[in-house]
Amino acid sequence: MKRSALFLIGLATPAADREWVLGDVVEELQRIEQAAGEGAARWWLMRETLRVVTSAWRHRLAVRARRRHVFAPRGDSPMSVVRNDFNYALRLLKRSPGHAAIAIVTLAIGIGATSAVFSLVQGVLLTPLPYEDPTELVLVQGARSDGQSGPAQRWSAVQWMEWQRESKAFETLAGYLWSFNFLVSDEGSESLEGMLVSKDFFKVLGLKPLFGRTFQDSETAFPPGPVIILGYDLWQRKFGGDPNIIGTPVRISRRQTPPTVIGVMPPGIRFLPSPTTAQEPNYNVNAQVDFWMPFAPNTERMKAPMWEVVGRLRDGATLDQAASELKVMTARQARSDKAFEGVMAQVQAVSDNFNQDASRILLPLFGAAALVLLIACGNVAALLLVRGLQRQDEYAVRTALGVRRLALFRQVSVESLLIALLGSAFGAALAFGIIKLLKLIGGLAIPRLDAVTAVWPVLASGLGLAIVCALVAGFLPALRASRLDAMQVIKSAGPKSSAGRGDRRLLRAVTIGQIALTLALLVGAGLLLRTTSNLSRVQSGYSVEQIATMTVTAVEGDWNNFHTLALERVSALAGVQGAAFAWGVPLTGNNWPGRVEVEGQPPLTRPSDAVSVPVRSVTTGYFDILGVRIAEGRDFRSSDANKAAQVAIVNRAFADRYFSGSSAIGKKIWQRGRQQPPAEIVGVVANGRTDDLTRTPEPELYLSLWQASAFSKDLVVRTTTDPRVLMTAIQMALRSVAPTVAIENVRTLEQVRDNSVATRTFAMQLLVGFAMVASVLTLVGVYGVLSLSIASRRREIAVRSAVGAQQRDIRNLVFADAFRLIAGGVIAGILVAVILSRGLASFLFGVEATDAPTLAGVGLLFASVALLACWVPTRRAASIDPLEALRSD
Amino acid sequence: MPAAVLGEFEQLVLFALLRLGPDAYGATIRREIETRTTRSLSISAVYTTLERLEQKGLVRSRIGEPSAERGGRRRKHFELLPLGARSLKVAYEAFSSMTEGIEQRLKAMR
Repeated sequence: MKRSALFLIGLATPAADREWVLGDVVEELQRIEQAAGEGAARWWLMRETLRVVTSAWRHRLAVRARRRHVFAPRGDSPMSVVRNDFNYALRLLKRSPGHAAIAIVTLAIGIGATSAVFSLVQGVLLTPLPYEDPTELVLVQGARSDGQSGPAQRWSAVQWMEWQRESKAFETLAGYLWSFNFLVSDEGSESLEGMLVSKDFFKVLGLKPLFGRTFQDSETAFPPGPVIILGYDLWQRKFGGDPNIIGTPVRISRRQTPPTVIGVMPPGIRFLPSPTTAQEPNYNVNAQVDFWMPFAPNTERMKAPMWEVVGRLRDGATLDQAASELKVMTARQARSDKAFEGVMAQVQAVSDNFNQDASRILLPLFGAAALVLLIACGNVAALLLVRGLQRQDEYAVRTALGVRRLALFRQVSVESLLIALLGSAFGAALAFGIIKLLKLIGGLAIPRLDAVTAVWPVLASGLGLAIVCALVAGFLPALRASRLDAMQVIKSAGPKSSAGRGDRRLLRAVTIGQIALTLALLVGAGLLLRTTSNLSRVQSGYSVEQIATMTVTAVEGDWNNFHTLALERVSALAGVQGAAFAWGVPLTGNNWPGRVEVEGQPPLTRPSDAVSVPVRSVTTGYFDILGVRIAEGRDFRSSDANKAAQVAIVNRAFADRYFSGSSAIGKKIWQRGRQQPPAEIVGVVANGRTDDLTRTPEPELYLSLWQASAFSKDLVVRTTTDPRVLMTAIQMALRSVAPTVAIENVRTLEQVRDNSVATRTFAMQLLVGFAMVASVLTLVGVYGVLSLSIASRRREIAVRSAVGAQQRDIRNLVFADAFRLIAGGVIAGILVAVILSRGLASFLFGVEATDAPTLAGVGLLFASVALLACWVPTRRAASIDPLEALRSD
Repeated sequence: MPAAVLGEFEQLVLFALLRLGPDAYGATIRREIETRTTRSLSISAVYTTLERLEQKGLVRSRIGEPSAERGGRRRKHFELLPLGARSLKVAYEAFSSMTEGIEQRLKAMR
């Protein structure tokens, strides 16, 4: 404390006075310590430091005023040397503000882009999860052990409870499940997302309530107690942060007894992934948890696969140990009971699972931003090199006068550091703007973007990047300055703004590097543009125009009544062509991963072998509304009601896979084993890319919603005009049936489609932006290098034209020079692009990462634009007047 | 040279120099003013003022020997120059003639 206080005081005091001021402070400090004790002295020193630091400015002015009158030798401490260098650099910048501004703006763009993306990386990927020791948390997920892909599988209570008892790698395990519910209100109910959790869940995660308590053992026994813990966000949003909330009941749907609030969790707690519920219409794993309710294994159905499982590793235990231990235990369980056969455990660190999606998009973007920064650094380096060439004389004179090489190196480095610092200050300001923009357009593409509150990351990364830039951009110029041969320069005393062959070669290398990186960015942008265009032209198999969708949930009352009446009233609205309810609207990610047995396939020997198909459930007219052709058989009818014989419709891909050669109509499908009554296939519809626009149609199964009802599902409405006009009317019609109805995700099917490709669109927009900026920077660089090269070869050109070279010859000469530069860059760039564009492979659709036409097209385009940029310098070269040029030397 | 017009803090510093005589340097000057006026000062405020006084030719400084209690740092001693003494006298006389006859009332004030 004492040392740092004295250091601060020393720093704030001009070097000329530092010795006596510090001496006085030390003397006084000792006196106070003897008179009043150590505490008083420490307190005094603190105040003294504050006073000295705040009055430093006045003191400095006084000393400077004195210096004008009295000569005093300057302090030569390292601090004051650097300060002198800084002042000198500042004066230089002021002398050529244009130059300085270009360098600063260039760096600001690079630093702004990079630190904006970095702050996203920091906020989304690097911020630790809000659990105790999050690195020890492990998800245990079920997958088919025969290696075939299939939907995620849940675990039975018997299984994970045995692991809990016997495992040595895990400290504890807990079961949980994603769940949704509705806060019932007469002004329209609101959906809540929450978790059903077993007894040890909070212990495993290390979560403690903000206030109140977690579940007691009696509440997590079967049947679970009517209690609820609220998420901070929900508590603030719907209960106004009421501190007396504990003990009050909450009116939610699907619960006979309204559960009582027993606790509130701290803010920012998000879900654990629950892949087996990912297809629910309300599922959003990146949201904040609204509520937790107890979930207990039903003592009669202990073998039912109901649970997702999370565990905490013991200290020192590894993921591999946990995996091999679980492998042994699941194998034993599978041998003892057929119900557990065919499922194996996969372990994954919770944080890895969390960051899968985000790192897929953020890391390539961060790379792209870093490329922009590198290109900007290249420009600044070139700029500084040119400035250094112009100041060769100055450097030479200083060296001759005895300034050491190291001092010269330091001086030039301080100059570039100053430029970099100024650039990073503007860059930080720019970064805040960019982050705002990214949050605006990237909300759907980057998960948990709401958690990004970038102030420190931006400032810190800005500062760090400034230092990196100063090193990258300033090293070469500084080295050049310090290794200058003073005698040579002074003897030749050549015209300023000319460069020797070695310097020109260096500059050309920098420019070629820039062109290469720019080309890599342009190729990435080009590939994503082609992807977007491919996506917009893909034959989806259904139409998205003029269709309104919204998620509708009747939280109270008779299900059948509500939905019948709702369809009647919505269909009767003016402008509505047709309306249907559907569980599983295309591209929403919503469907039911059903396990079925199909007629003609061998009977199952174990449950995990069942055919898994996405099941959707729709009402009459759904296929018409979406423009899906019924190829064979019929649509659902209103007579396909709850009590009637079960019916099903399959798509063409389903029919082809399981009934190729014969008609699918009349064939049977079992959903709950062959002992139960089957559903009969009554129709076959055309294929569509329902799950994902980028994937070819797969077998699908449709059921009648009246027979396979769903709690939350979407209403789809085909309208005669712009569907957005009718949104309010449709919602009012629904509320007129039941005021408590919950209506969410109100959007057009076009929006749904756009959202489904949001990540690609976002990556495309960003990469196009980055590539544009990079191109401009690089073109400026090319222009500058070529201009310098011509200026340096003035005499040569003049001699050539004096001995008879025509303007055309001169132009060819310069053009060939430019062409070599650009061609070199483009060829290097294509190589770089081939390597880097693999990072984008997962975003591409209908185009390879090494797509030759894109590579060639982008290369040609850039080359021709760059050659255009060379036009002005070329003409200037051709118009050099030989007489004048030779005379001026 | 005519006497200089002094600011209030400049007067305090010059009074302290007068009182301390050859003992006057940063720490003692500050202590003298702090104990007599019961206001707390920053050491750099003292030096700022001394700087100004030196520049105006009212005081001069000399560098002393290093001492152990100051961690081997030297002192900067200050002494009153004739111009400073004269300026302080003028200021004091102006002050005392203005307060003449009202000392009791001034003391009784709260």
